Amino acid sequence: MRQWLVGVVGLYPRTIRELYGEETSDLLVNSPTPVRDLADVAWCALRDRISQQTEPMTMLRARAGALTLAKLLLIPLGFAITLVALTPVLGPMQFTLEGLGISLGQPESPGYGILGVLPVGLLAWWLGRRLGQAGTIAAGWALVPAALALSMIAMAGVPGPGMILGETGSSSMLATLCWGVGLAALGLLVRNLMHRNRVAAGWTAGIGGGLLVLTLSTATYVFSGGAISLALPPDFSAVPVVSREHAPYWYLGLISGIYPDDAGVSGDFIMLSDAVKALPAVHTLCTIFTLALIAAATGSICRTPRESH
Amino acid sequence: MSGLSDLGRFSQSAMLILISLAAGPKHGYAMQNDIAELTGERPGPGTLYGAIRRLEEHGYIEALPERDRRKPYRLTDAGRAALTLELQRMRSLARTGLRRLAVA
Repeated sequence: MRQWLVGVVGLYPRTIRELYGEETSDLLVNSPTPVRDLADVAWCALRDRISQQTEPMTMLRARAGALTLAKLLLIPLGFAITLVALTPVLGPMQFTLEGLGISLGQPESPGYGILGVLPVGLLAWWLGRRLGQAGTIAAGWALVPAALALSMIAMAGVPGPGMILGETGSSSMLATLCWGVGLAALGLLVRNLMHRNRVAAGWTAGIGGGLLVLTLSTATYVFSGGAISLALPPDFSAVPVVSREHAPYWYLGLISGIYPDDAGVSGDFIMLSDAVKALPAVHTLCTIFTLALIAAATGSICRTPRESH
Repeated sequence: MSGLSDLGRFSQSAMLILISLAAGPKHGYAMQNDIAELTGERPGPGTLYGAIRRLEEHGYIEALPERDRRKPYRLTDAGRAALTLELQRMRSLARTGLRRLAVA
């Protein structure tokens, strides 16, 4: 009857769970004070999860941890540089596609749209899986979005080159913060679903939730003043604005180049693209990277006990 | 021997577990009940097994083969020595404190 309480034992690191999970579950199920004991187990499990990483900290381990963190911090920069570097290649490709009647809009740079995101997204996926399978990152659902967001916030704060993540640094930072928080919550959900072998639900939540987080972060950029003439009411500025009712399409429109009919390509989305630059593309790539890492890490954890039998 | 203070925030629970096991091997549930009788407060499963894990790592207690799907633990010689040392330290501290109170 109280079996649902046992789920909290899953918060423990695997090694501790394997040693004491059954006994802890037994006490929890038979507890006269289940709510208090549930809180006690959750608190101790989270502390063990953190302390297990710090207690046996040797120089070698510290160096490996620092190297992993450095890799994570460099990843957004690597994605941004790759997108920019692809532009000379993608420009003619976009021109050719438009010649064939396939319009992909006119983003600031073709690399920031779907033409750039697709190939670099495959690279992001591969990198995420590789790092996840290595199993070197504890609590990846929290640590990875935090490290990537920190890196992007630092990038956005650099005068000049930082504008690749949007014309208005403060809005880029706020949008990235929103992205980081949203992705951490999504990562936890995906990890928990995959832990319970609900792989299809995990992927559905990952894709749907990923799109939602990216839509919200793009809207946060605009509404926080990143594209001031777009965010203000129409009668406030003489500059054409993107209607707020199109906010759910801002992200998808920027990445795909396919805009709602009434928004058109006549100016609104082009202005938005000019203001937001590579931010949605880099957020997209970091989302792909994070979800691939979490899925691979969860897969390797779930496989290990079965393989050991 | 470094003593129970090495167990950090678990040192209090660890001492209570060692006192509980001083009377003979017990499984987690029996330890919980015994400690509740001793102190009037039942330790939570997370706190209890957090302390058990650290005591095992230090070699102060060891697990015995499972009985009725429950794993009993017993005190080792190192655990007995650590507990004795800790109780003697507490007795000395208590004696000093009481003497000073009497003087005051």
